[in-house]
Amino acid sequence: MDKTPIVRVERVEQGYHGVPVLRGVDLTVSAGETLAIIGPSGSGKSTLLRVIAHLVTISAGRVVVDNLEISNPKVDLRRLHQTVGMVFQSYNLFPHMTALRNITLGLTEVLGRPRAEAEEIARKFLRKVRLEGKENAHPDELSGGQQQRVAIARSLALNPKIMLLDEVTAALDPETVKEVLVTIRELAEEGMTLLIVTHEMGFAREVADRVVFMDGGVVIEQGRPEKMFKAAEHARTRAFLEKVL
Amino acid sequence: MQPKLSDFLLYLPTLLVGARLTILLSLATFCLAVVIALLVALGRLSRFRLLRAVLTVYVEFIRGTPGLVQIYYIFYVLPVWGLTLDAAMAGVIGLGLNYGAYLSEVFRSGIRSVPLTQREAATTIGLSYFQTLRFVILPQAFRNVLPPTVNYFLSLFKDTSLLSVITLQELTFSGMLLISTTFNSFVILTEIALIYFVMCYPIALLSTYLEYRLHRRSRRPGWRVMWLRMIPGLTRA
Repeated sequence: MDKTPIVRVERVEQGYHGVPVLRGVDLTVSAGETLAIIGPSGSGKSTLLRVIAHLVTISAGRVVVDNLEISNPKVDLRRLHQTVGMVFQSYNLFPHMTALRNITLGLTEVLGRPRAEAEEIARKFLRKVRLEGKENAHPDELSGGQQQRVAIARSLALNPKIMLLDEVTAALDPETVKEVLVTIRELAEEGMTLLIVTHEMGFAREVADRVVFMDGGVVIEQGRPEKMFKAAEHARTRAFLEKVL
Repeated sequence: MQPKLSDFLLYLPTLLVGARLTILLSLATFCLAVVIALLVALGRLSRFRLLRAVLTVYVEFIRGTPGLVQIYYIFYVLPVWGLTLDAAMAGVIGLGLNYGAYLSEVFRSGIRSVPLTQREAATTIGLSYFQTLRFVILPQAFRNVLPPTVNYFLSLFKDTSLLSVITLQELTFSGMLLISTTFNSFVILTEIALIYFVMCYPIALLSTYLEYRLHRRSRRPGWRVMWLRMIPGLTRA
């Protein structure tokens, strides 16, 4: 595996309305690595992803993503958003567009691809997430699992180097969780850099190269999944895992 | 005096000339109002505090004073300061500023009704502020604001009669002039009301049609469906 760090998070602090959420997070991710970020609600996992996607601004620290210093106000946001793809818990598809248009929008408007070429690419990614034939369906005509796979395809079509997955299965029913997990596992195997915030401990253990445990706005402990799940060093990690496993 | 159908036909040409002006004034005013409303709504949702303050003052001032006074003001008071507008121009600007303020509130809530998560999704695929508005926010807001916007258009359509006070001979004023010479108020007022209704009702129907299309997403609802919907109360709105 390539060991160049593609994401560097250094002493990052962030808060909403004066309430601190991140209290000095340090994290380094290598290209091609699959990271599972776990921890109790309110521990700052999702906020960390949102910081990397530049959806929220930080109050202190430094974040470098693929050599882009995103804490710098003059950062090339267009390049950042092409580098980082994000998938949300609630899918956030555009409800007034077909599945196909959801995917082609970024291709035609951000990357400037011609419509026909964009549709070609979109079809390819719909096949990849096993949704051929659903091109013209609107989001409300798709199941949650299907919507989430369209959302993954929408993100992938823009050819990001890093994918951030924020509890992407949390809103799905158990049967459809699996179809989304299959798609994610394939991505991991293809060498995509993945940062996955998840409550699916079994899945984290299976696909992650490294598990990061967060609590109270800091990274408490990280390591290989077999070590984290069997012999975590910190009492807080063990207490959390005992509750959820 | 017994009203006669021949009287009705006698007044019609004059009233239709007035109706034509009513239509022109309404369309011009509505276009201006929509542009103002969109800009004000976006401005009030922006992060520029001074802009928000100025626009809020505009909206509250317009909503807090009578439209009639605003129209008088533009036509009769602005010339004192050297700004003379012809009646049609003054009327369109006056009523446009008035409706722009009301509509901006409709648009503002329409835009805010689109979840923030939609904006985030647009941001993460790299869309700029204006692209996000154009492709993601406004199309969704449009559905939400269509019924109240048509409502305001219908209201505006009839409020153009306020412009009679600055000499514009639109439908109502044309009728009043006819009454002052013929004293046949029963026929003429009935006729005015009918002409307004004949012009307004199709707009209400068009709105129903568009709303139906936007929500059912069917390319075009069959005419049978639309005919049924024209009968008030038959189908659920």
